[in-house]
Amino acid sequence: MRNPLLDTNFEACTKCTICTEYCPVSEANPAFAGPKQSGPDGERQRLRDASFYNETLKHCTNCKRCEVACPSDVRIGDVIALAREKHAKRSFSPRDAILSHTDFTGSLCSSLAPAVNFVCGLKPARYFMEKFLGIPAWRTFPKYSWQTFRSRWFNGAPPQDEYDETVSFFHGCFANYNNPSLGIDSVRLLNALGAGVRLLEEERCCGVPLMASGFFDDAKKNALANKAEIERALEKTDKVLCASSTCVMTVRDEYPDVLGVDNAAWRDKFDLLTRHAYRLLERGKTPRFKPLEITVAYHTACHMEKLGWSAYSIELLKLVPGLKIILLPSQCCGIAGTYGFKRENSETAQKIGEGLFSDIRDSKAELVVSECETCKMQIEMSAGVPCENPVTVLARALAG
Amino acid sequence: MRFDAVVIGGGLAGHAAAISLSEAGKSCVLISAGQSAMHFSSGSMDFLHTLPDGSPVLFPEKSLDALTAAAPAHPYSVAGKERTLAMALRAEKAFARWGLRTEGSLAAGNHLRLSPMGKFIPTWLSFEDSVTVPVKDGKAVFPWKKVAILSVRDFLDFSPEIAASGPRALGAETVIVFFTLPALETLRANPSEFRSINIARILDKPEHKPRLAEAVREAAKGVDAVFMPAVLCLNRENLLDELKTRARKPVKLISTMTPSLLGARLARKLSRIFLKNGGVLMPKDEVLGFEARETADGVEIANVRTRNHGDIAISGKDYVLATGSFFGRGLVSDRNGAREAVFDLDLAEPPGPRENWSSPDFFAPQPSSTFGVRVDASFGTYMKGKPVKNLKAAGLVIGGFDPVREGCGAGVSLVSALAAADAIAKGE
Amino acid sequence: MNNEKLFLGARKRVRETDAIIIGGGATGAGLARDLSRRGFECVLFERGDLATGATGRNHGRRHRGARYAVTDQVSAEECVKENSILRKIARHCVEETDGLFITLPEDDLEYQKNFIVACRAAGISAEALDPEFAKRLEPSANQTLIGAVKVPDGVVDPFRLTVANMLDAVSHGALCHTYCEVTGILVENAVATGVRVRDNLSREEYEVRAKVVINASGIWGGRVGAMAGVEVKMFPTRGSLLILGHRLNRLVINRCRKPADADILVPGDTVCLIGTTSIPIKFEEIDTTVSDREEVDILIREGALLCPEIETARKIRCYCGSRPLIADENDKTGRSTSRHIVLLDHETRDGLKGFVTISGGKLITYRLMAEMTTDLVCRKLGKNVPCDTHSVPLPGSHEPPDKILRKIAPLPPTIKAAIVHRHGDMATDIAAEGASATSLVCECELVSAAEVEHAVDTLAVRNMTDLRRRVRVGMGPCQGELCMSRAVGILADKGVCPPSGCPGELASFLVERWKGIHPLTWGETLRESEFIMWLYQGVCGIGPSDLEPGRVPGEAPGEAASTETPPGAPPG
Repeated sequence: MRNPLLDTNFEACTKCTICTEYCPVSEANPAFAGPKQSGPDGERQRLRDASFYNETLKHCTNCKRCEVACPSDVRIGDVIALAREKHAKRSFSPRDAILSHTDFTGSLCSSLAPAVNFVCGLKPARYFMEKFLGIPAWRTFPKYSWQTFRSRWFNGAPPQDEYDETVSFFHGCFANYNNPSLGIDSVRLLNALGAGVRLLEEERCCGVPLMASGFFDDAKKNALANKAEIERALEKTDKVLCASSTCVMTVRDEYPDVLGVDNAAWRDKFDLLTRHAYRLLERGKTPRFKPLEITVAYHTACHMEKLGWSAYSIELLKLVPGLKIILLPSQCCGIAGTYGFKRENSETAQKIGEGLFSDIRDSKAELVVSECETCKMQIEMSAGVPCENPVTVLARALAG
Repeated sequence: MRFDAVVIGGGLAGHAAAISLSEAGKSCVLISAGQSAMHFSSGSMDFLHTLPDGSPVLFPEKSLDALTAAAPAHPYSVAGKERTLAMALRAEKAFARWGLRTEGSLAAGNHLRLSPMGKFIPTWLSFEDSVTVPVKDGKAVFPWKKVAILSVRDFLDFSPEIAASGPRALGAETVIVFFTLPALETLRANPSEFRSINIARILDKPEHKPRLAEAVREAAKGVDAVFMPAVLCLNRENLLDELKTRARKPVKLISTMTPSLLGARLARKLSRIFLKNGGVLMPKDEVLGFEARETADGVEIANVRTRNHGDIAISGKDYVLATGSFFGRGLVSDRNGAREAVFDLDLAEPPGPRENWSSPDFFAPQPSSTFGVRVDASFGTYMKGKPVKNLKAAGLVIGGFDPVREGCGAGVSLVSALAAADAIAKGE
Repeated sequence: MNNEKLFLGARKRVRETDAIIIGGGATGAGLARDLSRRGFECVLFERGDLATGATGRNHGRRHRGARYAVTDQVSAEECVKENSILRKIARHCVEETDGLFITLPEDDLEYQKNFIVACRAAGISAEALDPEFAKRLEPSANQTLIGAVKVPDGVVDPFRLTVANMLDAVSHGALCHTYCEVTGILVENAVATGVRVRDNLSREEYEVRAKVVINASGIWGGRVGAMAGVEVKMFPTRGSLLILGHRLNRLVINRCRKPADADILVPGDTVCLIGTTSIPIKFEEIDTTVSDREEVDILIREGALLCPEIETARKIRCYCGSRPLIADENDKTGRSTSRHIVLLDHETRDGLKGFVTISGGKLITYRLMAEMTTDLVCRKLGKNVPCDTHSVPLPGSHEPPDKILRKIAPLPPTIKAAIVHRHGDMATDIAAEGASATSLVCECELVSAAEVEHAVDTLAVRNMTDLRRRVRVGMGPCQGELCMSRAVGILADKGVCPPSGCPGELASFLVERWKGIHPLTWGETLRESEFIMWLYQGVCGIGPSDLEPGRVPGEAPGEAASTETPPGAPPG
């Protein structure tokens, strides 16, 4: 496999400037040099001399909307991420370490969940977090769960061996530490579609928050560990499924394109849960849904836009009787993983999301549906409307 | 995934076809490889402004016979005069129905739009809010004696001086005025991002309206009209109406260099209309393979496979190929040849050896501009000499015409897209 | 350093001067510098812009002569010496890259041995590398290499070098008249007494008298010689070069074998170049010759042997020109060319007093050529002033980049780096405040509006193409698509052309850029060119009627067909 640092895909850029029109960061933060100048333009300069590196590249949220817009297939977000890996000045920040090492932070916080959730809600603690860690005091912090999804699973999951097929499930950090019910819902939905579920022996964070904070080495370590586990899982099952759009995009695309971890042998087998669910439907599996008389607004998370798979989730949701689905115009919510949690970005993050928040409020929807966990946090905090993964909505609608 | 119609390509032709099909009650998916050339177009749609021999066209309707005689392989010639004109009329009506506020019609003949370089260029349909000039007895009639050009200070993608040379050449007096806002100054400090669309994202905000209106009102004093570079009204089209009311003079936009707001706005609107009609958009996807079966009288596409959807094939009863020319990657080329990218369809003319693709004279006809697929009168396509029963072509992927020199790119796109959709809807 | 703001001067006309220089290449500009520094009055006439001939049309390789080590010891030694001088006096024009001479499986490793010996004999340090190490050192090099030699090497920017010499000359009283074509040499009683000049911008004609007339017109030297009635025999050879979209390589990569077609890949600025071919052409063709398909194929095929990525890399431009090879004076048959500097004193050679021709040599030896010629002028005019051009830095090269960077106001880091790269210590003359300082015109090459304004104000920019040579506007992958409209707006604001003349300026620039794009219209280059046509012909409405009939504005009539003329440094 080719070294991503030697990739010259940026050369396909025709300088058409279309990417700049779709960058949510340029709209909100006039300091950002924009995708074209930071990506393909800057890369030519940086290849000549590292002194052409511009620190404003750190404003990129890697939302990939520039890549979706680009008519020349330039992987602009990757070019920027790789340039940051190569050139950015590194200084250790405890805040970035806490935010990005989700495995460590998660297992620590989960074991002390009630205390952590309590303390994180206290004013002095929030003051401390703002002052010393640079996490804005007003920002809602994710609640940690006392019992992780994994520990619940191993303490009495329903039997999974009576199904026609078995799939592996990559739960991701958020489902494990913060939202175990998403893990449980995933299993229920898959079971209803005739698939038994097994977990990976071990699972690490996909690495996306690490990359965002510049911990590329740690991200690569996680990627290699996950690769080994995924390969092991694929000896027993045909698919490894994940309900989080960001984890899926990272494992499928960022592993080879940014981290240089070869996944060619199994990339297609690592799949978004709703996409595989759709596949099972096409194979004739018909889960029974009970009516759900609510209006939901579907939000296309940035990485869903990049994957291009919203259609699967929407098709599945259409099966639920009574469910009214509003399609929100596809735009960024601003949180971009851990980006919005950092004080220096938080204003930009909120500005980016303004359009989406008002669209959500205007839609009068009772619930927002999105495959992305950090969009969920941002939307719930900023638009004041609950947000769930489509898997959760579908599981809730399952009859019986 | 199954649909009635699969449209490949998300430019003007692809969107026009997809919207028409969805209006005809077809379930429709649009597979788009990225945003399209609409984003740097003028926002006006041309039908035909020059014949292949270089003679100018004032009334396209009247010139179609001459075009057919000179260029029998031109899509208008292949479709025939009757169908071409019927589809053009249908496009005019569709634009009105879709809420795209345009002026101009084939019946009225070409009008002129003002280019950012101060040129008046013959065209067919222009947005109401852009600067256009009628033609009378073969001459441009500039309707105002004195106009102000109100531009944003230090904005490099539009030179009011150069644009003003157009009205000046037609005898009008011009005044140039600049304005700025604190928020614009903040953006301007960014070396690369002081672009038309980014400016519009600021100017469209309600909080800036009072100062903007004041600047327009000031500029309007003592002149008959105010022209502005197209750096506003991306998402708020009624903003211009409000400014007009305030200034009590016409306020019009001139397209800027890339990115072009008038073109980008068209792209966004078309996309919204398609989604509103229940269409399924597959953004940033690309057809990598297809299955076809031979029938007694030709070939039939069974399904296509895309980069994003992999093993889950996308199938339709009918397909429209609107992938564009080389820029849109509907046609691909290397040192040894050029071909249609998705289905390797038959081309209107074989490209021949590479050294003949372009002329050393920049302004001479460039043969590569006319490359594209062979079509029949209802824009059906051919594969290895056999007709492909359920695949139509639309837009610049079609061969036999030069969109730039002949000034017919938008016209061919709309005529072919609507003809393709019409043929599919009628089951032709 | 000189705190005065340097500029290339107004078109001040004089009736007489000490010396007239015909030709605004590196040699002519170097000559103007040397003459003026030694106290002579001089006027330089160039029919187009500076560095439009061989000077601007080579691969800018600042070889230390390693390439000639085996075949031409004299040239190699000259190169070694001049190279070390250039490093001192022109540091903002040169970049130390080092070079790699690679041996491929199909080459003879014996050549490598001879090569190392010959290099060392010429005073060039040459170090044989372990092939594995060489592959890691230069990952873009053909990884099947079986041998590699590392030599000190570098690249020179010919435009910057010529302009810097001219700036220094003008600050010492020389006059720089670009777009002034010498149409005749005034000869009275076997003495060249001056020239007849046509101002190609105003179309006026006038005469200027001088004590010495120096023919430094490169490949056009034969034509200029003929005006004075003397024969200067030139052998024009077309050489084509291909520019790739970005720097594929860090080191100059050469084939370690007898010099042949397309065997050097040179990184320079943001791009790299593969060159060259060598095809003899007729003298009448020097202004119109163009690269053909076969040459493009050779450049790609042979280039890919040096660096396989060339096959797939973005090609942005292919251009050609005629090398100014001059007949070897020692060969009485007149059939062989000289590889060396040829200084002809026509007084001793042809009995024509006051007329001198300087030719041959290489870009890298331009200074030595100027020194030799000025020494001759000194002898002729009875002046004994020593040359100092080898020790005094050129404008822009007085201070090292890090020191200059610290002096520049807080500009964005990328713009700062770009102007210091291009202008050295003269970067401090570019406005660092105001909107233009932080507004990019050319986003590919990071050229700000302030830099464009500076060039227009001080560097004798008469049109878009001159601007390109001064600041690289339009030399990136989009070949001006994004920036030419912005730059032309500034030219109009600055009064270089009237607003109504801007479409004409753009039309000329499009025609000029197209010459280098046209041979490469496939793949990404074809996509880009389609985009340019849509934008400028379609959206803007620029058309052939915008070109003045038969003439590209700002350029000599004869040159209209080919501004991209001959490559200099003959590859041997």
